[in-house]
Amino acid sequence: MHPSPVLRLLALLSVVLVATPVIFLGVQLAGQPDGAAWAALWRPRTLSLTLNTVGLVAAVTAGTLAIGVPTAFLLARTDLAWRRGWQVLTALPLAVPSYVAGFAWVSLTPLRGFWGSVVVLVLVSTPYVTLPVTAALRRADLDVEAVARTLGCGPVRAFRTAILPQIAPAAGAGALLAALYTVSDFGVVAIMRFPAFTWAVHTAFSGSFNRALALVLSVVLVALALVIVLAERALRRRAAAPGPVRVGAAAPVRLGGWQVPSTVLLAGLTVAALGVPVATMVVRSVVSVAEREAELARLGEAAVVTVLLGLAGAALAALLALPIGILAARYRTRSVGALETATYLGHGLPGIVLGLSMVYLTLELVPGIYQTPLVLVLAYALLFVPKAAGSVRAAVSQVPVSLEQTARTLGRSPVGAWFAVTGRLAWPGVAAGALLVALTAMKELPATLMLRPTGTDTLATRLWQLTDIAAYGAAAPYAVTLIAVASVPAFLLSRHADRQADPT
Amino acid sequence: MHAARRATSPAGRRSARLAALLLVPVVALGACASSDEPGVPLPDTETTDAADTTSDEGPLVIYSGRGEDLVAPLIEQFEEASGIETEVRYAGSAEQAQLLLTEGESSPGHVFLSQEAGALGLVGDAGLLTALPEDVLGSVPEAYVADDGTWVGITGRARVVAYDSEQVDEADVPDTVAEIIDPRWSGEIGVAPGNASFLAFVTALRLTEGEDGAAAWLEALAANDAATYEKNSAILEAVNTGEVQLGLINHYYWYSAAAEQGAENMRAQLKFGADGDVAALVNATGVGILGGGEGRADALAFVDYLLSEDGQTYFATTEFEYPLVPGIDGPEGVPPLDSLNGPEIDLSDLGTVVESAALVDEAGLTVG
Amino acid sequence: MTTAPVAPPALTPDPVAERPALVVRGLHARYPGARRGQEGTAVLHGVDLTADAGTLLAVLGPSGCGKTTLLRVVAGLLPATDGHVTLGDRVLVDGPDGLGPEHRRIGLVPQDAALFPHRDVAGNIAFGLRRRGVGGTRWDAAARRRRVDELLDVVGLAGTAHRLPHELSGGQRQRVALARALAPRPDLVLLDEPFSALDASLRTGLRTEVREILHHLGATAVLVTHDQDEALSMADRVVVLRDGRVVQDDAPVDLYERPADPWVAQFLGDSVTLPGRWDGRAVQTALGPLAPAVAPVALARPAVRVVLRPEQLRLEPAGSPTGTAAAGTVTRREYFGHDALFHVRLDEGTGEQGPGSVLVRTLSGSGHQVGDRVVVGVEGPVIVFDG
Repeated sequence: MHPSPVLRLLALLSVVLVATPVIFLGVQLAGQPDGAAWAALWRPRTLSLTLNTVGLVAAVTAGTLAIGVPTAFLLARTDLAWRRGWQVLTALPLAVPSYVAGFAWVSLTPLRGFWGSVVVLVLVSTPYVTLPVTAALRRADLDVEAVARTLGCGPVRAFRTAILPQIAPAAGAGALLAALYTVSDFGVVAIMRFPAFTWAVHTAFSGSFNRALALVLSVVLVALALVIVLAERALRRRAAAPGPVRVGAAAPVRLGGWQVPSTVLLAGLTVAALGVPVATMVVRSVVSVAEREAELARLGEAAVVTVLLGLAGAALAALLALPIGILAARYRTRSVGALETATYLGHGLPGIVLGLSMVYLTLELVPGIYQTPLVLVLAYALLFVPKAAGSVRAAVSQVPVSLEQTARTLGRSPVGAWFAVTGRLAWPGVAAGALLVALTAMKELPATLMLRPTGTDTLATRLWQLTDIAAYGAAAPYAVTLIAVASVPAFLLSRHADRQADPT
Repeated sequence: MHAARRATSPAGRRSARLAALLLVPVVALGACASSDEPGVPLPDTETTDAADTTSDEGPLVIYSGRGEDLVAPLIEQFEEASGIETEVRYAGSAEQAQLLLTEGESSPGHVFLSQEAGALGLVGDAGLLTALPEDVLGSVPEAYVADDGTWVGITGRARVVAYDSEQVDEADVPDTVAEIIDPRWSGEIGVAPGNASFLAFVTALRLTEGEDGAAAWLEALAANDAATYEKNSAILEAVNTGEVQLGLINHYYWYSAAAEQGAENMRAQLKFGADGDVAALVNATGVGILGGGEGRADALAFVDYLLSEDGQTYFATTEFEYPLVPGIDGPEGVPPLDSLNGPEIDLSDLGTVVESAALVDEAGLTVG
Repeated sequence: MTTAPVAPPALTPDPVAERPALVVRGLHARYPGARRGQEGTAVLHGVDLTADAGTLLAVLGPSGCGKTTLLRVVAGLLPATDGHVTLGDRVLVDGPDGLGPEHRRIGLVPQDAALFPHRDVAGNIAFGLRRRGVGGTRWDAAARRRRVDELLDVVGLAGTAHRLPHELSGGQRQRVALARALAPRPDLVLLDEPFSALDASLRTGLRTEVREILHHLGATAVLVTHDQDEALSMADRVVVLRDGRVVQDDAPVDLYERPADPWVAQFLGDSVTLPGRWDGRAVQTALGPLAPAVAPVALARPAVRVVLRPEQLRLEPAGSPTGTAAAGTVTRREYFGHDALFHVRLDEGTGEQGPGSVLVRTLSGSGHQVGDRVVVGVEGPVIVFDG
């Protein structure tokens, strides 16, 4: 059946909304003098910076896969001791803002430059891979592996030929999020002094105040992000379509002598990704001699604002992602694929450019809401729609179409049938997508700084203000609170991945 | 110490905003985006006791490129002294400039307080600043005033060389541009080539040494494997931990770091530039009145206050910056401004900044 | 568990005076293209059929014949490109326009049961019983509970009301799917190969049971299947579909005994096709002269094809005195217990192609071995087609 025109229209509207920052970019570039854009693009640095970012993306993606997939295997398929605890702990690095992790690693170690950036980015973005791959491993059809074993494959080869193709789409989707994060991250590469592309955008904006150059470089970033998205799509098309949800579990692989090394490995990762940042901030706070009064009330208020904005942004992002995710799950046509890809347009933009585009468009279209929380919520939604759309797609595609059709024959309207059956069954996945958005929005800094209502602080903006004046002691409570607050959605996400195998 | 001084009025406003924020989901769900939603206590409905100001136009909106913790106490002093109510938006100077450029004529801001002359120049060139009265412009030396009279300097920040006192003797620390590129500092000097203050320094270098001289100096710096950082505070942190022995920064960063870690705990120490050398350049911070603040008595009152004895003294004593109004005492323990004879250059000339950035870029210093 | 309880005799037909008939006329449909703008493949080319009120019509055909498309068009899950579908006096499909599936009052029993995994058995059955139900029926809580209990009795699942779908066996799931489809008293029930996922022993029992239930309720039903046994044993009437066209529409007995063409004959069961020559009184074949079931009045040419069922042939030991018989050798034996199928290569050619094989079904499989010399005889009239 063709998708209903209403659904297509809604999806198109969502995509248009998500793509508005690109419209802003176009308008701004058109306003630049002739040749300025080309001149900016053909600077010799543009190519070397692009190569740097490409290299960083490749290394971070490989690193998240190399750590995330084995971790997921330990969590999903083995008799690892204290498995549930590790399940949560391996998800929590998502709650650590990359700039906090970067700061901690620079303070503690001589790690700098390319490898410093790789280490920090891999540590904070590995859960993007671990979580979906754990869930996929629980769902995987183990009969195929059993057949492979009977055909003479050893355990490793059987896993590679029978299970790996089944978890590849999940691993790819997770690696995509990690790669896109790496493309647009500025905090870590700035702290690590690695000349990535975002650094050039930042320098152009705030060093030489060269707006034309900054905007042109932003376009290159968007293009880089789209290339990554298209590459992931191409790989996904070649991979097996997700099978039906599997009920029942295989006997876990006995770790035996590997039990201790596995535990040590996971503990090491947890210390590196979670312990180092938290400990550094706490130590900084203790050694601070600045006579600052504790700003508890302000901290609490910033925490409440952070949570409210994050949740509102997540809800809106999920809402916008629904039509796109449903279309992508049910109709694998070229136009739907194009729509889905277009949602990533905003994702590659540096936060400052997204912020500026929201300023411009709000003042042009709805000046009444300018500098209200509404704009910020909208910005979060636009930035993070692709994260939610991926989860919606995965959740909806697991609900057989026949259920919805049966509901129709039993007297439900299309919308009624969706809510009674597909929506009801897919909502945990949709909620997981929203949690991912909430988590990311809570840590977001550049767009928040630009769009927040005058006088309103989030944990991230106050953290930035205090670290900017080297007031690390005062900043530490904000960093720790931010990690604590963001840990709640991270914890819920880990529980969601854990529950994937349940039949209902 | 700053936070303790926050008056009740901004705090009250903040909780009013929080209440408004709580209503976001309701408003969003109701598809009703009007800002005059009944029941939302908007800040400007609060009563103000300022009788002689334009309170019916709402509070004075200040876009500040200075951090809240650095300037909020001064703004509170201003509120108390004048009875004028303010609303302050904080972000980096460059970000504020970009925001103002994007907002254009629709900006709700009235005053732009910047840490960088370049940011003021950018906004001024876009025609978004209004001309200041002659008496305001005349209160500081001409070098720290915009040619078109759209902004006025408030404080000066000296370029200095920070050094690791555990590795380097003060006497050996270079205080001229020529010594800075001495091969003995190979791999031991940190710079922030993308930072506006460094670019202003390069501009000054071009004026004093000529284009070729500046290019040669930058190439020598690059050939010396200068370590590049994003911003001054990162350089200072690196010097303080011994990662590099020298760093080119603005002087006042040391004072905020000392406030945090204790001056006696600072490994990093400062050496000011030699008399008359470009190394002794002083950058200006400044303020301008935006189009939206044109004709507002409170906007002008704020600019006046920044240039008043109270305002200037605050910057000198609290932030260790140089007051630009003659006759005000400079910060304690810092060489007097008169002794730093940097070249006179127009810091806000944008074309100049872009060319300086290009020069830095060609030397291969921008990043990496 | 395989001996399914037959619907209790106390069960009364649903109190609907006149059951409407389903009439399909000139139905065309395409399977949607994989991409937007792509035409898609035409699947139905002018299908006509009628399911009389209170009867079960089977739509039979090989996979890919369009039978599932037909069912989806009737249910409203796929638009038609042309043609009409009416149910009683209600027009369901009029060219490309059609009622939404929720307004058709048609119950569907899908192949995989498609139970809602988040609802228990009672919740599944009650899914279509809503306060403002389709067709003006109002279901309050009490009526809904009564109806669910009633249907649980009907399908023999009393006591399982609070089980979840994954706690049920395959057969139980199909029964719940049937109960769920019947609950809102639909005008028509569509069964989409409902037994294909079940094992053979369960299938036969459930077929009988479903047949009984539908019969007792007086429901009009359409069964889509590729299984000729299922179609012949359950249906009041069978429509054979091939390449999107109806090739025959008959009662099961007539269909089997008088197939419209050799393809239908072969599709309905094992068969032996022999060339022959019509001499005005009998057909001369390699198995001797055979009597046609229906005198071929309008044969264009004397060359004909004869279709025989293996159970019409019988084996005698070699040398037995026979009338219409031919000698041959047993080349293969398929033993089924209750009967057996022998492949016999005839000594003399079955036609121009030279020596050929025939299939013979015997009630006892023990009489002959591979390699035995036998004589093949024929019983009863045969089906004759144009050569």
